[in-house]
Amino acid sequence: MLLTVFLIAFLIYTSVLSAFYGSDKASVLFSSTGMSIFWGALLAALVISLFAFRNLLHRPGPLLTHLGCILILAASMYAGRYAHHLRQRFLNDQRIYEGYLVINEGFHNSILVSEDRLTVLGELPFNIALDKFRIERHEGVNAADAMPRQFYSDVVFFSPEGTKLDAATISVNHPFHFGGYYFYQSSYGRDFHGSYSILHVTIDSGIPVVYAGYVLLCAGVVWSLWLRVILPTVRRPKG
Amino acid sequence: MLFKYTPQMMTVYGAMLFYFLAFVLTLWDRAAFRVDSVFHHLRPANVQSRSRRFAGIFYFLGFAIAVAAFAIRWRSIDHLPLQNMSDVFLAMGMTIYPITLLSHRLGAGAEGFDMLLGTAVLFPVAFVFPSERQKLPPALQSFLFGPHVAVYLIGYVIMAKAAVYAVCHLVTARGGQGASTRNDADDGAHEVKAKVISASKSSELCAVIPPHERLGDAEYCEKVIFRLVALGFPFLTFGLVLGSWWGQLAWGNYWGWDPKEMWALATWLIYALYFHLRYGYPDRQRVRDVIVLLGLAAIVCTVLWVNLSRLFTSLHSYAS
Repeated sequence: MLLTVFLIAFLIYTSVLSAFYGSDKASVLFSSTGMSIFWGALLAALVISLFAFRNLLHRPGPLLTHLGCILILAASMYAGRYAHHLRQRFLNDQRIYEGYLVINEGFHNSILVSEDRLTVLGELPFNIALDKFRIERHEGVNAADAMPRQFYSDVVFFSPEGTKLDAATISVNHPFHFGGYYFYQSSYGRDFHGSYSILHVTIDSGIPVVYAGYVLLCAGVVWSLWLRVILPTVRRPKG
Repeated sequence: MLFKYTPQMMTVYGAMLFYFLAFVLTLWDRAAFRVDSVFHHLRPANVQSRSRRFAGIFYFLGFAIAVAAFAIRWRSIDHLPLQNMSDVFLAMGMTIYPITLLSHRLGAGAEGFDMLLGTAVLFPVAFVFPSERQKLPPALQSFLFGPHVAVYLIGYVIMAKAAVYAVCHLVTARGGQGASTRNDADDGAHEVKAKVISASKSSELCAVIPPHERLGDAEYCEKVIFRLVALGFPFLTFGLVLGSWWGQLAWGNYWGWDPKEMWALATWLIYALYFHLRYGYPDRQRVRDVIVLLGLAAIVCTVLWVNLSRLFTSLHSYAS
């Protein structure tokens, strides 16, 4: 029990610390070797607690909550950059972890670049053509200055041989899932070829498991707190 | 302080006024009908005093006007008004009334505090935060926008209420800690004595903040704190999960190590720690009170600090 308290307290401490650091340094801190050991210890503690505290296995609310946490932790480790390196090395996973795809209107592309567009990260096993890029603007005094309401990229996926695989419209908050990747509308611009759209491309490993963990976690807290504590109290005529 | 004579601001002032009137009436009611007060005999048992009844009516009127202010705001900006600080605080001022009703069912009192809190959260809406209309940027146009912000602000108001009880418990239940958790017959006399001492202390406190008659009762306080945290914690969990899901949809990343995310995670963990401490060390009530207060401090940091200070660059800066 003391160990649990210590682990949670340490995570609170590092969270607050990293809030001062900003997101870039925080992501480095949390994937450092020291923190990796901590994540492992936390995951182990969660799993052990299921067996050490008999109450956990016998009460569905806390059990679901802890299982949810285990799933989220395990999936985010699996989805992480380091696990991806291991998969590339041992499981021959050829996919690229994350990158940006710049496509001009009327052209196609499959080369993923870094966010600053200076480094080539790799090539996707299929081609993506940008049929049309559209900006919807809020009504304003000056149509060109008005704030964008939404950006749309109409894209078509082609195999290297040129057969059409799929087509989609990608906009902010509406990503598209294809070939083991998620495609997000990230940015746009204009160059001498005309307007272009920048898509953020990320690998999809582990994401469904993280979502499953979230569902368990939510179900667990609702069960153990609202159904077990709040509902009986509210129902009783005098609390 | 600059008064703005727009329909929305007029309603905000109105809601503030009624909340504050309700608070003053509750305060007067508590002060006048205290156990040791000279007016005490005027109130028959089990009958609400007139001042208390009017406080309830004023509180409801304040709520109705706050709803009207929210509706006017919604109409004028054409999207759910939860984007900037002004909108969120107005929504907090609106949700405080249903939360009071719900927590009353949970055995918690502290209506007076809720009325004061309602006035306090509407104050910056009226006089501090800019209220100009803002268009919603594409990243915020999601079906998760409303739920994500709404569950957080509801959770925060509930946790603020829990923190009030934690403060009251820390102040009044000093020394009565062991007595409240042991129920041995031998300790009976000691227990009663401790309760009498803390009850007199609580009535002193009641003149300042008037939450509840049973404030000095450590066992009662601990029960109410636990129920309030149990009510609020799932809201915080939903907020975290919805936010993460939204991050995955909008930024392609379910966790971005953003300062606001880290504060929210720290808040969630602090309350998770509360539940673990309650399970593992049931006797350590005062430690848990401090944890609940730390939770509120983390909430304040999440809401205000990250947005208002320019110390951190944040993906959540839409709300600044």
